[in-house]
Amino acid sequence: MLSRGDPMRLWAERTLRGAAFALLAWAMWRVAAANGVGRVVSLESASVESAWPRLLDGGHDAAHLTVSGGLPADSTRDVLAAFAHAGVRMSWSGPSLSPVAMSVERVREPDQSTLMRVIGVGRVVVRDGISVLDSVGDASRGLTVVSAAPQGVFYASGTSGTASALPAAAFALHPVLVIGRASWETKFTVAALEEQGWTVESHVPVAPGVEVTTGTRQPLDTAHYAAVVALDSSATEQATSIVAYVRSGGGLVLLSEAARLGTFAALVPATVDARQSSTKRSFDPAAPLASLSVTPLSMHDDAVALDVRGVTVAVAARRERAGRVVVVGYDELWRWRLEGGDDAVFAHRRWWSRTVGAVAAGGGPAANAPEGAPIARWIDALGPAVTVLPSRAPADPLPPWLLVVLCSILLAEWGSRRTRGAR
Amino acid sequence: MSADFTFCTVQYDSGDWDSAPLVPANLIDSVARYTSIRVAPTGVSVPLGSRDLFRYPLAFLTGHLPVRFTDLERRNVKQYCERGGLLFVDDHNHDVDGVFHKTCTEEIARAVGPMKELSNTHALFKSFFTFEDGPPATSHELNGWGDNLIHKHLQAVFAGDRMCVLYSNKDYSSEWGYHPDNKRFMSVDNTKFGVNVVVYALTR
Repeated sequence: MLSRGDPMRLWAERTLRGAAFALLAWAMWRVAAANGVGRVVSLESASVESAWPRLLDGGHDAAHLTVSGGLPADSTRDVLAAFAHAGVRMSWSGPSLSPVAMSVERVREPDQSTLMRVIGVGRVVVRDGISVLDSVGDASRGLTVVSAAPQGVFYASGTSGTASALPAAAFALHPVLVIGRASWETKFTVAALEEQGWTVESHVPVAPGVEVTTGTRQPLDTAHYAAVVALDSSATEQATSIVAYVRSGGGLVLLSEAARLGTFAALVPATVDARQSSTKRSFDPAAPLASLSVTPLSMHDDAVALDVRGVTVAVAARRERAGRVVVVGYDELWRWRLEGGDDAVFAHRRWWSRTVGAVAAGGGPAANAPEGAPIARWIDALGPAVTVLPSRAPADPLPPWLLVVLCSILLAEWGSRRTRGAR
Repeated sequence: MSADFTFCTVQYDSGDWDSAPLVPANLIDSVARYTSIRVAPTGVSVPLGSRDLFRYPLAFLTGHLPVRFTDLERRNVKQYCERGGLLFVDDHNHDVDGVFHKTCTEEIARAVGPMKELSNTHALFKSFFTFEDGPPATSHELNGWGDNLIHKHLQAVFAGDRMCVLYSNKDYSSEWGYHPDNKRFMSVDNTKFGVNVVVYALTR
């Protein structure tokens, strides 16, 4: 006959049975989890290459790399990417990286020097294939390096990596067309550009129907001219074709009188106001531009100021479709060359060359070197850094203590039942 | 309307810089008459030793008497030439043995270098009017005054490929030294070559 037993005892037996089932379920989950997660290999960037045999060993579902002291070599990245492509879940973590960005292009001037712009975090060193070109302690505000004859690939080395870029290809720089009355401004603008190495064609009307020209008159398009410089109202006759030229990618520099022409109204970056005299009584060789009178420019919304005198915008620029337009508010720039300091001739021609170079058509930025952006390529290959480490599979899914506990529970439950006469 | 060109006569400390006072008005008249250049109605005179010289990239220098530049004048002439100015010098004596020619050519050589003969095919002779035979002869040459020579060529000094000194033995100072109103009595305007000098200076 079955003993009905103490209700408390029955409750205890049921609890022990429940605990036994719960432990069995937990053990089964551990076994399943261990099989699902597989093994994770931990790698250190300093010794990652010595870990290749372990990864190749097989049986690893995941690997985690802890980066310290800068990114590993590109070859290491590629091997890790290959493992990722082979099915290994690859992750990495480390201190925040300090990226370095670099662009390289040819200056659109006759010497076609190479212009490098670098920005980064912390110290950055710029070098070419031969030597260091420049360095800066904090590159967060950018660094510009101009080199006349650089050699090989350019590198910008920061604390976390090295950006690199190939040199930009040289390009054919077409002539500049200068249009202006017979005046000192026209004469010395042409002189400055020629002395700086530009090929200049000029159209200078000197009497009704009489024009002094240099160079051969060619169709006004980007295949023939790098830029047009219109100095005054004598550009009226060609204004319509100049507008079409700019919209197809040509460059245009306008002095204030030319900028007032109605045909250029849709192109100009600024409205030309009344002329403002220089505050100086005589020409100050130490401050040549400040000595000149300037015609203030009221900029349009899409224009940028290239030169400001006090609160007055003196030079402004904007893009017009594929072309670029600069308006110069300075008057009688030729006086800079004649009345300026010892370097006036050089400075005047440099200023003109840069102004024309800012709008000139031709050339383009250099292509990045194949490994030019190491951080970007690293993240592209391995994904962004993780902050939570991948879960590791339990080392022993069925620990011995689990069996002991389980057996003890079952034994206690069985003993209780037997001692009260139940099966 | 502001002027694009102002005729400038230079004053030098030695000699008689103001020996041809009617030349500026006559050339200004011709420039205004034949061209569309915005020319100032009156000329200016500036000291060769002053910074004002550099406001006028074409300057006219003439005289009869010996020329001796001061150090400042010499330095200014050198810098003026280096920066693109053109100094147009005319020997008012029309005499290669005259004191002006001897001393002025010495001074120019000291300041900017020796002069050389200017080819009669130079662009100067076609810059506006065409002078197939080079510089036009003056009545003083044709009448046998001065050195009794017809000078076939002008002389010049170049800074690179740009002319910085143009020198004449032809006495244009006398040839052009009359009131502009009297041009109407001439069958051929003899100031046309002066227009070429101005146009050349402004465009080359």
